[in-house]
Amino acid sequence: MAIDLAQFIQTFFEESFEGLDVMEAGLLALEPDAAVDLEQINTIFRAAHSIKGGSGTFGFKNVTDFTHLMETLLDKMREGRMAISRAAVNTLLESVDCLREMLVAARENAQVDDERVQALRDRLMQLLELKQTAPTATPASDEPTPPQTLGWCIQFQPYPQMMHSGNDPVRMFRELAELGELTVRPDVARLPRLADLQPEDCYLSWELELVGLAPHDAVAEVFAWVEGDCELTLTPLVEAVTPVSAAPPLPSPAVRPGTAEEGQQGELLLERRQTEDRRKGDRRASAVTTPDGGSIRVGIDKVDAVINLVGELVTTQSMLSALGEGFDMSRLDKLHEALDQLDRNTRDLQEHVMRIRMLPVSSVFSRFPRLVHDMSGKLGKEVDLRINGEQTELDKTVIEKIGDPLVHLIRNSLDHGLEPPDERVRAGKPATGVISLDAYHKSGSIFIEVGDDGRGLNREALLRKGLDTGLLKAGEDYSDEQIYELIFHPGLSTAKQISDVSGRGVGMDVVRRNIQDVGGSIQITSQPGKGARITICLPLTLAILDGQLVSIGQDCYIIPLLSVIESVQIRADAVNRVAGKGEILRFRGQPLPILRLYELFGTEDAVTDLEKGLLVVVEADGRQVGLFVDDLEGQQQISIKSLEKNFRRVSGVAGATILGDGRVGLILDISGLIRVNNPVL
Amino acid sequence: MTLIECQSELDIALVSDLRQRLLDALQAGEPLEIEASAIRRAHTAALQVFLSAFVEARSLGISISWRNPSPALLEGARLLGLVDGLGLTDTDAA
Repeated sequence: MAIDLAQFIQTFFEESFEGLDVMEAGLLALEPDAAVDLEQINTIFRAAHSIKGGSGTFGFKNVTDFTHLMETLLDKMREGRMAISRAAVNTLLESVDCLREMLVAARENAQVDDERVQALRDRLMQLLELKQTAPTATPASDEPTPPQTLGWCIQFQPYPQMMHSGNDPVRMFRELAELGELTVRPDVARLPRLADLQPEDCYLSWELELVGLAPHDAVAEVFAWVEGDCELTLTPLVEAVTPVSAAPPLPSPAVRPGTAEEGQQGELLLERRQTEDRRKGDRRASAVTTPDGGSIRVGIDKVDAVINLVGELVTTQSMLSALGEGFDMSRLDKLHEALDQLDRNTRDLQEHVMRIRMLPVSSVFSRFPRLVHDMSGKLGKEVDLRINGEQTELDKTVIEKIGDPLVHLIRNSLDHGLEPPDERVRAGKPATGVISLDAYHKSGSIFIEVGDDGRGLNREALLRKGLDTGLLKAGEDYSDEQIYELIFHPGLSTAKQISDVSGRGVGMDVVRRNIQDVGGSIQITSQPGKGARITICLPLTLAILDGQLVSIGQDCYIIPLLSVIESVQIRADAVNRVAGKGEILRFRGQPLPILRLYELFGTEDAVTDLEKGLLVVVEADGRQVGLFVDDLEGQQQISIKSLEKNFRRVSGVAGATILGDGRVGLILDISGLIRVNNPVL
Repeated sequence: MTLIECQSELDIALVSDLRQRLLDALQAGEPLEIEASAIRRAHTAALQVFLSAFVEARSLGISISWRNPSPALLEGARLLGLVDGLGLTDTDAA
């Protein structure tokens, strides 16, 4: 089923090579030192931008980074902040050649000439004044000395309104401090007298120095939520930097004001799974410690309930002990009974212990009335915020992680979803828009919905963009869901055009990733003119799940029971092979794609004959697929162990567990599997 | 002497009120003490208001100081690099 993705990659390469031709022709037509030919530069810029977006989507990080530099340079030229010198044009032309080689290498899994890339990067950066010409070092010197990043110099200048939307530098810097040794230098020059101070505006700015091996992405992620609300520059601290404590503050010659482009790059880079980088990152104890970040306040009734249950457990245990003494088969029934009771006690106890970690979502929701009030005032919109279900309880860890995504969603709804009052009246709607925020419990999960009665998503614009970037294929029929799904695509979500036209998109990939990091999923529905609704589904707890064990060859995998709809035996003649879409089973009147798990995981000795194994029908994000497995092994509660912490992130796998017989079983990430292997069906 | 008692959660929504109390206190012109043992969380906006108050008090020659600064206050000040500006020291922990 990986065929679809492969086809997209193919399309991406084709379009990128065409884009490179366009760039080349455009650059050649530019006349150095003449008046800026805006249209020409725009054409080149757009081609570069598409390549950047596409390469980001498919994970060709080196191409993304490199193109980003070119794009930034072009952007400066476009805005007249930089002369179109012959040297710059030549460098760009060489960069086009280099990019072509990088793309060929990416397509053929070949090696890139790193030295050449680095040399050109250096030249681009010099042109951008990101890097000063080092008098002692020659660019592209004969001895390749890969720059060793020892940390980051971060220039962080919030715009006054940054804190209005719930952002708090204290929290951000705390996260930074976890990545290394943090030195903070505030600039208080703009702080007004107390009488003139608008208490919610931010007047401070900071120069931060983070010493440690944290990768760019990890540092950028801390600032992911303030993109557009600050000026931010991340400069690597390289070589011969002595520890901060022993040295005077570093001069920062490379510092320059950040641009929107940087924010975009930050976001694009964020798309890459940071977890692996983070794993490599230096997570040494930080200089700043959090005094009470690890505590939780628990109602005494919850503690009493646990104590009661422990009492019952002790009773059961003594019952079993008594049974064990002088046991004979006549007491087998009693033993079964006692074991059932033990099972019940264990489950109850587990449930109640989990409940200790639960907090009402009101702790997150409470900040939204203010946010909506402030923002609606500024935007000149009338908004009625309706909150329901704020007493719904969620795991503390999950609560902590969903705050920022929710702020983002509500801001989107307010800013782009709801129309201004006059437009609403013209459309026959009440002048006051409604944003609803609902939390509720359904079938073992917690749902949070953010809805508005605004204009809804612009399906046409998204479709067009999807076709332009090659994510969708012309001539195919796509459901609304598939098209709306595009707003979560990093390649698209960073594109400004989309957010301007459709009103949504910026940072939605970041939102989705945050939700997925806590094991949740996110879906969007929209009706033109009537509004959009985003539904977030979150697990009750992150520690335990009910799983269906399945065997594939010698291995055992776990499918979260919540995703399982049914398991069926199938007849091979009911299965069709559809070009470009793999195998499809006609199932209850609907086409059901089949994923052969043994193929995905490269399992040997597995059943390959469709009629000899079983098909487990699963659903995630509103889509169903059939997972082909050898057999079912039973259901049990699974204690989830992180695969990332112990090994590394594996696509399609949510975690691992240790089974009763000591084997390790991998827990399948159903929505990930569907997304990766079956992106558009 | 004026004593200002702080709540446990110095959230951004409460900062207006805090600013007003500090303004009133400074206008009274008497030495000012801020009781900070209850603070469990301090938003940047709150620390910024305190900073402005400290700067102003110093320029007016009004004595201003903390009483029992809580670990959370110290942590916030440290993270923002405002320990000195806020007249705190790292050994201030209550």
